Amino acid sequence: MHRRHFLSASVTALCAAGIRPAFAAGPAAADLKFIFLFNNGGWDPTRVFADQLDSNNVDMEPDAERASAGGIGYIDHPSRPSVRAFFEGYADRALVINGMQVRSIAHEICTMIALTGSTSGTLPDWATLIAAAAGDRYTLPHLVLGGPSFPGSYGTAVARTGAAGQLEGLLSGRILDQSDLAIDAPSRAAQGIVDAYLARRGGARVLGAQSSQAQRLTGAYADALGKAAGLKDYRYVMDFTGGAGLEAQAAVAVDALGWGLSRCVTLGFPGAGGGLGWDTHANNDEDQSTLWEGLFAGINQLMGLLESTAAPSGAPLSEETVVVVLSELGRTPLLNATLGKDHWPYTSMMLVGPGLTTDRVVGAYDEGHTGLGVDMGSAEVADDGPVLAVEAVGAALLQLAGLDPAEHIADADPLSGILA
Amino acid sequence: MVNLLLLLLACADEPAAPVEAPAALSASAIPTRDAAGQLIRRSLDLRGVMPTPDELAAVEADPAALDTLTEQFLADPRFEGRVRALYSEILLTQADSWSLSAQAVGVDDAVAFATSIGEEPLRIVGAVAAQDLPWTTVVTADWTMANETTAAMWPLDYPAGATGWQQARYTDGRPPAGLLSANGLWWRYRSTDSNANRKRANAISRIFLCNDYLVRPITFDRNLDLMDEAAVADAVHNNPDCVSCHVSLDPVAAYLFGFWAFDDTSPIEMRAYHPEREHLYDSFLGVGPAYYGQPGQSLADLGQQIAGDNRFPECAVQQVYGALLRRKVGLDDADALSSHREAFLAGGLTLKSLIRSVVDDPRYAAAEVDDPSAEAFGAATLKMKTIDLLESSVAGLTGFTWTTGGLPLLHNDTVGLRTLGGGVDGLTVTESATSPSATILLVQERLAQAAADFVVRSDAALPAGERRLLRRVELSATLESDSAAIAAQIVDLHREIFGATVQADGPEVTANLELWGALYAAEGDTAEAWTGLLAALLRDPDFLFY
Repeated sequence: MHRRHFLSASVTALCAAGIRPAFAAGPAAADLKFIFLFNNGGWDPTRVFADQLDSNNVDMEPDAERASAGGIGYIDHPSRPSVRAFFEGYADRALVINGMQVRSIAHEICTMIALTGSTSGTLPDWATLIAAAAGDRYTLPHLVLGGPSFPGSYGTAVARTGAAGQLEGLLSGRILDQSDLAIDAPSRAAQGIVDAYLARRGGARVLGAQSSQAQRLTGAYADALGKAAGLKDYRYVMDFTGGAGLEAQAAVAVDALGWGLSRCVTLGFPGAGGGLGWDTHANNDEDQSTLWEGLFAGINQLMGLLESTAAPSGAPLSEETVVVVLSELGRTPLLNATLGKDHWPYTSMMLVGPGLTTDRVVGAYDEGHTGLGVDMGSAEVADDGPVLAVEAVGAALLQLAGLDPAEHIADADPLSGILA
Repeated sequence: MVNLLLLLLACADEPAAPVEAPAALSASAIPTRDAAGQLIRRSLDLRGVMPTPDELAAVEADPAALDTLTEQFLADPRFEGRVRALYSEILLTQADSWSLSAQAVGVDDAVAFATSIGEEPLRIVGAVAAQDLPWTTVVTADWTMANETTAAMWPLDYPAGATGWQQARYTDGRPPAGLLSANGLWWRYRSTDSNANRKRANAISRIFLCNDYLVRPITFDRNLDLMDEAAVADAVHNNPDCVSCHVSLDPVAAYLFGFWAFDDTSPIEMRAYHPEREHLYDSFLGVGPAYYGQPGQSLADLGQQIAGDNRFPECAVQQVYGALLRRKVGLDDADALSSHREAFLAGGLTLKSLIRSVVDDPRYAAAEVDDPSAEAFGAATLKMKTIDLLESSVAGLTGFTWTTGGLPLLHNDTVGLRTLGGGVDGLTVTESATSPSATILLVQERLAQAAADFVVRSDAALPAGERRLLRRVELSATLESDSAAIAAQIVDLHREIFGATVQADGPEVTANLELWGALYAAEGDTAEAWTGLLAALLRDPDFLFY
């Protein structure tokens, strides 16, 4: 039996109310969901995305070979079968963007730029903007299982599962057991009585609100109270713990999207405790290879789950979900004295999902691993085009999600050539 | 037109700066709360707890008592903590992790290590406010605040064997400049070689001048080779788009090289100030220390220059006004800001004088009424408690503080619930939530359940006269045996938890008696009924909003 058949009665009712027919001609922008998979530390795109085998100025990897699947050329290596499996299985849904500039070589700054287009850290990231735009439809509009997240002014749109499983602890009540002072959690019956009382109180408070500010706040309270109560029921059909591994995060992400709890989910690889896992200032070849293999093994599992799990619309989630795989920076073209590679302000990104001009590689690196100019309308390399900025991709993602990038990104110039 | 404005405000996702007020309206026309309502707001904002029934009775009998009680709140030891909470969203120093571990610096208590570093700058701010010192002290003081943990890590003249936060001085010869000389600030705001202290300079600008270079719209030359140091240096000095910021940012960054660490994972590098590195600005920046064209020599000069800048008090006014109204400050607040600035200056630049002015502002004291002047002027007709305020107000009522393994559960994200509860994490979450979400209410729920369980158990072990909350009733009483006592206790609870006066036969008490009865019927235990009722009251929207 599919695990969703274990759904409790209240959850079933919630889902039943939201059932819609499957999309015939692709999902509407407002129905698209997003998974951001952030790779902390700065990956080396020459291991997979950037074919620089013909360049004398770039240290490629021994045994690396040029390969292609559909319209996508990539770097293949015997130690990375998961990479090959991904492109052979999903190239028709994938888009690789090369030569993207992140304007800095500092992790913290590049992370902000890659996720928000700004160096301030006070502006919301793309995932939060997309989630907040439809926040009232979701209980956990942007669920963060790993990786960084910048909520800006949209803190209420973002929920983190917590490295120690705090969200699960909140939902189950186990967080009370962790208190230094012994606490007896209320019985389920008592909780139900109090919840029902508060639901009435919340409704009454909305009716009694005397100012528009009070109406907004009390309305949000009543709405959030209902969502919080519903969320406790979802605990019986999905695990909110998350965990450090990409596979575990992927399972939670797919559940959150499938149950209609979230519009965006952010994952991190390596997960909690992985730190700047991709930051290979030494031993670049071996460490990066292991990471790329682990990453694509996780992506393959994620894609499988997206294909086999229904969205609230009834369509497979894979038809409604865009997976954004990125890292905050790239790595220098040449190995250093410790056989590592240092920070580099050009990197790559991979997008998988609907609404994109897939089965292609756009953008490129020159002989020295510097990003080339692109035509924003076609996303093809253009001598007279601007260097591709990560903000341009962010703006395109906002556009794909139905948002106006100009409202959120200064001088927004979306890379519209990647949009179908 | 007014209806349209109301509609726009009502539809906003987040609190916005006020829309332009119609010319005919004046902020003084904003209907304000009654004295008790104002007392509740002031008590929560200035000392983090509800007013006592006696305090409420005093202002109900004589509204003029509001001013007297406000002075008491400002003199209350808890005021310092509220200032720290307010400035934690501005300084953003309360991070969970640092470039060094407790073990690396020889501190056994990892919890104290994690919390003390970021607390140092906030303790300075809190001390300046609590001691009614001029606000300029935060950038000119020749002292810092230290506890036994920071004293174990850093060169401080903290008394041997002492414990707790107290004034101390660094002993490594660093220039006296208040926060600017505090390790805690620069452990939070570190620098890379290529950044050359510019991030730190921007932190100074953002915190003290409300001028964040990083949110300025900039045009970035994408053809610039970022790996070419000479090209970058040339752009910084000659490219007009770059110069517009760097011309003022870089000279401030030049002041900060005494805090330069060649390895920010080295305890020796990070703990001390390095006077011999002050001149590294030559090689890193190519410009010397200066503050908007006014040259200087040391960090102490920078502190004095900031203290003398008109933008410095203006920024403090903007920060305090915005924090107390719980919204962003906009252009339409100019008149209010000007008025509070005058009060700030007239009060000798003490934070208390500024706060007195703001809490007297009708925008702050606004009643929850449907009134066009209140909406148009961005009045705070209703506010949501921050996670800090929720915690302290629950603790004030119940005595319960939620910790796990010694860590305050609502003050960290490592194992805690800070951001899930709407708080800031000092790194990526930079603004407290201003409206409820599902996770915020879940945090409120679990906090309420824990606190209710704690206080009922505590009270049950005490004679009625010594109890914290359940003083009116024998805990064995049921509705059948003594419904009058239970009703009287509920009346008292409404007074203490909401500051409200309700009647024993009124609808609020009737509803609560029904709730108590339902809980007793389900649990068969009077203590469980009280626990459930108290948890419900602590989760009530009227407890979350104020």
